[in-house]
Amino acid sequence: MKNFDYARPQDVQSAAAALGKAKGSRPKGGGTDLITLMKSGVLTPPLVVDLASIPGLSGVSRLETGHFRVGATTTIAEVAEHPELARVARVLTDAAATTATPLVRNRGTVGGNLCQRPRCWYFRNLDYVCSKKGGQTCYAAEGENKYHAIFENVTCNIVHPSNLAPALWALDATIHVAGPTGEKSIPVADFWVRPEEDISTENVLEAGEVITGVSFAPEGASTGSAYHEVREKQSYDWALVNAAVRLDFEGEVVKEARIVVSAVAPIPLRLEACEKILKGQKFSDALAEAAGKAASGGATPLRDNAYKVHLIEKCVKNTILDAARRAKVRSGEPR
Amino acid sequence: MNADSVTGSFVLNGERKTVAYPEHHTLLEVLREECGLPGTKHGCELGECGTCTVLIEGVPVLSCLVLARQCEDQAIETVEGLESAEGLHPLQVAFADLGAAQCGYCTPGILVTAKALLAANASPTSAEIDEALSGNLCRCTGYRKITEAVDLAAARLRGEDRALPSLSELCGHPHGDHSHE
Amino acid sequence: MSEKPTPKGAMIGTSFRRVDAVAKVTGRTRFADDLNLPRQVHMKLVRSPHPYARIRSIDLAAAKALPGVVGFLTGKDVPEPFGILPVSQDEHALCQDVVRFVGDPVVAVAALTEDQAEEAARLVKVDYEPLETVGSIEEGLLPTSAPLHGHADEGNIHKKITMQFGDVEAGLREADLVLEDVMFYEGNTHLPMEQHASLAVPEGDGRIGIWSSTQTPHYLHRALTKVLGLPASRIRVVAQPNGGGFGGKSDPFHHEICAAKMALNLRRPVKICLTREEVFFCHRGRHPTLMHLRTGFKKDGTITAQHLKTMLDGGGYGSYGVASTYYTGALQCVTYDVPRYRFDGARIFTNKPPCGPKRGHGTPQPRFALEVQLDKAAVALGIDPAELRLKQVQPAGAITANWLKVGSIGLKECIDRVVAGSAWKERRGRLPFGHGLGIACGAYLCGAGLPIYWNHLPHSGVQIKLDRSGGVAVFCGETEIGQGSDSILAACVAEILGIALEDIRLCVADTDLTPVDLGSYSSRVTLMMGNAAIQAAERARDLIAKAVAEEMKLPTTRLVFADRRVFDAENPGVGKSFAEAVQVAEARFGTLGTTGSYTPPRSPGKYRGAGVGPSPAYSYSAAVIEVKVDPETGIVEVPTVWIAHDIGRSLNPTLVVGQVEGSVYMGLGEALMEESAFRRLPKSRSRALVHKFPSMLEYKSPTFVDMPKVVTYLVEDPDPNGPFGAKEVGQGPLLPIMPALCNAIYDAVGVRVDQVPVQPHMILKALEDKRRGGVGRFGPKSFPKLDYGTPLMVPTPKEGGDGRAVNAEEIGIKGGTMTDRPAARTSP
Repeated sequence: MKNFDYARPQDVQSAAAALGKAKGSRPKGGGTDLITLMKSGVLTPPLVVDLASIPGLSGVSRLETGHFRVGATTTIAEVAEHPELARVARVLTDAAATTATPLVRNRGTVGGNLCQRPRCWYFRNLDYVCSKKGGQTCYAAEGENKYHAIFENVTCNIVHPSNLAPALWALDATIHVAGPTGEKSIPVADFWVRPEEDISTENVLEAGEVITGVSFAPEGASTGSAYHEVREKQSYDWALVNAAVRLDFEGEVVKEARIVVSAVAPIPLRLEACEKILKGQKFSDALAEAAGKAASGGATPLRDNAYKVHLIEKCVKNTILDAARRAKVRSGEPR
Repeated sequence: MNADSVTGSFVLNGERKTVAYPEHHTLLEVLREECGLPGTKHGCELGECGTCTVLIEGVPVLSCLVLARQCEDQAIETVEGLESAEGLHPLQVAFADLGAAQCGYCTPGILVTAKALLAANASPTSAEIDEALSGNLCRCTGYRKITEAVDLAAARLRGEDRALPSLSELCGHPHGDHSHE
Repeated sequence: MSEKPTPKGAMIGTSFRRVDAVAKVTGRTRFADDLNLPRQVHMKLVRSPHPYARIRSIDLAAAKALPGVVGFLTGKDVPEPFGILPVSQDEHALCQDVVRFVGDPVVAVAALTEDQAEEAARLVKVDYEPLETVGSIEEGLLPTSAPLHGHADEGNIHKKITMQFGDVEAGLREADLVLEDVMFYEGNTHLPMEQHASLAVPEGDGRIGIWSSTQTPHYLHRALTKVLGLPASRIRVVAQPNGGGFGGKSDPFHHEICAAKMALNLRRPVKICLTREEVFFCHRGRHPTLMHLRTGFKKDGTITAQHLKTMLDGGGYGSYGVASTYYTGALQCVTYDVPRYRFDGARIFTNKPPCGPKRGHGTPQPRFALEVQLDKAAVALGIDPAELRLKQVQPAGAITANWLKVGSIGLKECIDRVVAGSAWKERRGRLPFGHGLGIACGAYLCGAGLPIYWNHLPHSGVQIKLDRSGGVAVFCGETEIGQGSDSILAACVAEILGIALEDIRLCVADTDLTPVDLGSYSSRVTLMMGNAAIQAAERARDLIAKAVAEEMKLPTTRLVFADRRVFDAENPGVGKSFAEAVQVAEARFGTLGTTGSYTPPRSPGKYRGAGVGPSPAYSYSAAVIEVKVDPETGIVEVPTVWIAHDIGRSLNPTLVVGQVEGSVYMGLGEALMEESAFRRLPKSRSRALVHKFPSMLEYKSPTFVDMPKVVTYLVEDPDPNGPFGAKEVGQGPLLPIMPALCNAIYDAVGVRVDQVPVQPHMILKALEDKRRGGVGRFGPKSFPKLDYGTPLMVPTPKEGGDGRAVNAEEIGIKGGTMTDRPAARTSP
């Protein structure tokens, strides 16, 4: 790993100021992604600003509004094992618990998970100057693309690696950001940047900006949520496809549905076509099946990943069924 | 040693340790090179194998992804801290007796991960042991003997007088008899 | 040796704690990268980013200017070629003018710190002229592909083999059913947890020592002698305990030779530890193998004849490749009686990291093809797949169609045990859709019958030094790679001398101090080292017995060595402590030391190629695997594996079961996820040859939560050639896993995946194929055309052959094989 300067500010303002000064500086949460990128030479920041010791940036709290806030440097393990979050945001704790491995979860943070870089093996390999690294070519387009995107994959074929991202979007969460110009709140839906807008990044954060936390409303009495992913291995693996689902019921009828995926497109994707099928309808297995079928609409698979088209349908269906089952359990109805 | 060395201080296996090291080095490097404790191994240095696991404040983490600078004043425990004047840790005894260490390269990381598990959960099920260790790769054992050794050590730590498996228990019996669902 | 006192078994057969267990659980074991010396410098290799290119120039100026940089090596410093096999000396410690795979080393840089060496390596500028690469077996066969090496049999066909044992076509004509399958076994790699490391240390008098993570210190010693141009006696190789090997540390490697050369140049210790990426570049893993298998069956399922064709993707260099190619054909007849057999094999050079020996070396691929085909035959003939196998197990002592002598064989009992344990008869074919059972078997060597280079010397040697304290020092070149060889060595000696493991001090794997053992490969150590150790220990025991018997005025036959004592069998209270007994013997004979050695028996095969396959004994395994296949996702879950292994005699059941479970694990990895895949980018993307990212994440291997429940049965049928009757266990139990898994998938969902690893999308495609009225298969569609030439014709034992080929001269093959040479004089 190349040498770098290291700063350990005690507040967010100093962190933002430090990051703003030296071009290419990076904030660090747990370092589980950043250090690997630095070791492989993909990133060579002159300065690493460690957010880990900033007081108040870690932990789960309940706001006066009744919303829950999870600090940016809260570890993924803490989220996964948080009993109250499991009650009010099951989709999030499910997603956290499936992340990487226990050792990574013990160190990796919520903010870092949202900002981690893609796993595309061309992006991560210095020998390929791909378009994301400033080159002219997406090597995955015609190369080895078994794990790459099947949606919105025109310019770049990465898949977004965060599994907390679709879960937070399903919760309609807000991302809180601090920067040189102060603090702001960004709805998760607006946090992402498509490769066509700026291929060098996956989100809207500017130099000097850091995530301070996320917040969301707790699930209601007739809400059910779930996160599923299909993997080749039971641990230490990324999702082939995933789905985060939150359903609000009114009796048997789906009042509101939010379905978000991340492992199939360069940025997290909300599947409104699937949601439409559910909304306002009396829930049934057949309805879930139909919504699942709609999940593959508009897919543009590559040479090696057409199987994902099939998987996403099944994954979305099963996650919907799981979310609906949980809503029923919660509202006390017989299964 | 690089010009930009820093001096750091942490509590290593219960003893205060102050060392100078290159500023950008990881805890793994500092433990092995500056602290002279090569018991902690490395298998990838990219957080992909679990071999370099150590405990920081009792929590198992990948020391190859932790900057030594982050560890100021923290309590760090490595495999070298398991044995004491009283003898081997029950986990070490169980690993030795059940053949849970073959080449032994992943063993230090697995031992400390298991120690953290047992500190949090004195009676883990086999599935819980497997889940807790699922970030530690081992290429020799096929994992089953490790799970059994953690289970045996847990029982002995709880004060149970559990003997080693007999030959008939070793062969013809299911090993790893649990569901992961 | 008529007056042999009977040893009393104390250690053998018990689950004694391994001798290195405490060192391993306390972190005290010193692996190569744990060694450091004063004044040591760090070395890095600059490796090629191109799969195939000519080196135009090397510019070291920028790197030289970096502070801390102390030395460089380029190809011209190490011009002498080397290679593990005498027939393929095609590697250089640093490339001379051409690089042949991504990762081929070009320059070595040494600096005061590892960071400086890394930075210097980055600053070395190598100008390459890219060449048209050979990306696959098919491309290598094209007449237009430019040869990677000058020593290939033909173009990029490194090695071509064809041999026939009996009239195969007649056998196929007699068959009621002939099955023809094309199958593919993807390459995979060892992935030892330890990255290779070496520390080279010059000594003042022009000698050099190297402490390294190698499975084969003796072969590294030979390669160093050749490349460094120093007498062997001035080079010392010490193999540190390996953090896993699995075959991946069996070749002499570039970094080892460069470290030694650099240390000699700089006159100070040189250390190198490879990165994980470099371990992937070193590779020597499983050869990707395409197979064409044609087998004839009678209605009752018995095999009438078999014709196997294999094509191996060898990568950029020879490595063990010639042996690997022979091995894809050699063991096809040792499990079942295949009366007539033809084998055609070819290995192709491609611009990828070289393939070599991985657990099972060359045999898992054809074993997979055969065992899956047997399953298909059983279905076609309406026979239970277990019954079909039981019907034709080779008898003990058989000589196979290709002239391998089988010793003890416990395969029938292995099959019976897994069939009973898994409730096979009640459950196979009767489980609900998505849930199934599959069976397969395998066999493996207990050590290659011949060494890698032509000689008649022992394969393993053991020296014992008896101290008057009662302590016993045991010296042997064997290499501990995790399998427990140190423990077996100590236990064999302890058993014979009736002492405790604590009484024994080992000195192993040091070419200066220990007698040669050829290394930890081909499952040879327990059998060969074990026999050598027993011989040395028996000689020591006999010396002691002679002296003690004289003093006690007893016949030696009455003396028992047990419980650290030597005593009268008829009056156990009368005797001496072991230490006293040693003193009596030392007073009688002077300083006490003995040696033992082992040379395998000669094989009956005398034809060219008969040198690959013979072994003093063969181990057998059978496995039943249960799977649950999710037809929606294609994800395969394995709840349970039942495996029985014919171990001959279990010297330490805990170690044996550990090897079985480890083999099951690695087999499941190969069956379900592990692959070293390299493919081309299309023309519009420069036709570059790319591979999956060389990291432990992208190279998927099973974790704790992926590992099923394992039920192990040990079948004990002592083999006369094994130490205490023992056979191997390190490799054989892997063999049935891959085919048993595929057979189970068929039982579960009715589709065939004729290749491994089986990935979810393959099952989905096969299911889709079946839904559309197809056969429900995923796998390779065709086998490339290749003229393997006129086969070497060797009549089988049943046809009255003598083990020789009848047409060797006719087809221009000179000489026989090492087995055909006059025997060396047996020990004096």
